Amino acid sequence: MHDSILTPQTALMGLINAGRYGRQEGDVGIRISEVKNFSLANITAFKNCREPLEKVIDEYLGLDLPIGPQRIEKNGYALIGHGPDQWLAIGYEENSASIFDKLEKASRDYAAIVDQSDARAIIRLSGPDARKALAKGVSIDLDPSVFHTNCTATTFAAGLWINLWQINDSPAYEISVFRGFGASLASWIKSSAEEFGYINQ
Amino acid sequence: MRITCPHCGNRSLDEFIYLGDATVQRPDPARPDALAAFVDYVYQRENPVGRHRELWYHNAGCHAWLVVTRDVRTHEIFGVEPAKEVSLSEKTTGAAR
Repeated sequence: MHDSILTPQTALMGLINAGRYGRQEGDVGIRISEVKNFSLANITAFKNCREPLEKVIDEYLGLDLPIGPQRIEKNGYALIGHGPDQWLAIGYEENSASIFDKLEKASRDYAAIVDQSDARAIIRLSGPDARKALAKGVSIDLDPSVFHTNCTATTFAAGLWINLWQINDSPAYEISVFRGFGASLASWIKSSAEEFGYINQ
Repeated sequence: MRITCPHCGNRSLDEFIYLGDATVQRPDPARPDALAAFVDYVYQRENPVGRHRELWYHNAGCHAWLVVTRDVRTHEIFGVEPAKEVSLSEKTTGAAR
């Protein structure tokens, strides 16, 4: 009898292989990496429950609920506004899933909190040309005067439904899609980044 | 044409789905002439020139229904409100706008 061994695979395993690609001359314009081992939960507040929900979230994650399409990050957790009374909670640390589980139990009267950790892929895109590469596929204005660090958007990129947020001024962005669309997103980002030269990390 | 979603900001038309007239009101099914009123409500539409109020759905963004006031000739947009708020205020004031 064989023991079956199941090995967890990240959403983009084998799609973002280390190395330099695209334009070889000059400086690298873009760095691409997959965000791995994150936890992600979708939060939808019930009617008129924002205040009590805010208290529970502060207690468990130490974060305020963002107002509008904004991101708030602290201590390895981030909340991302993606619609009226709707947020994505992301934990970048190993144990975040259990905290989201506790959060879900504590806020049952105020919100629907659903773990989607295995349902999403997240790609991080950074470097001086990241904005230009991204702008080729999204129809929102990414100019820093209107879209800057901690701005978020739910929109289309190359026909895919995405959640997008900017994490710093370098600039760096993270893009989340449903896991099944991860390969399409990676493929588009790589071809969009080619003219600038990019490094996969 | 671009629509400024009150939740998401300025967005391209391809993110939205058009439903139609936002001025029609669902009739009371207990009315004696309810059948005729529902036929009107479901099928009869004005075809106005100029400013009109329409329902749009932000499909690629926040998934909210919006009431857009738009000039149907020039596509100029005069206002975008969350349909939820429009509906709640109609319930409070008891009248369609």
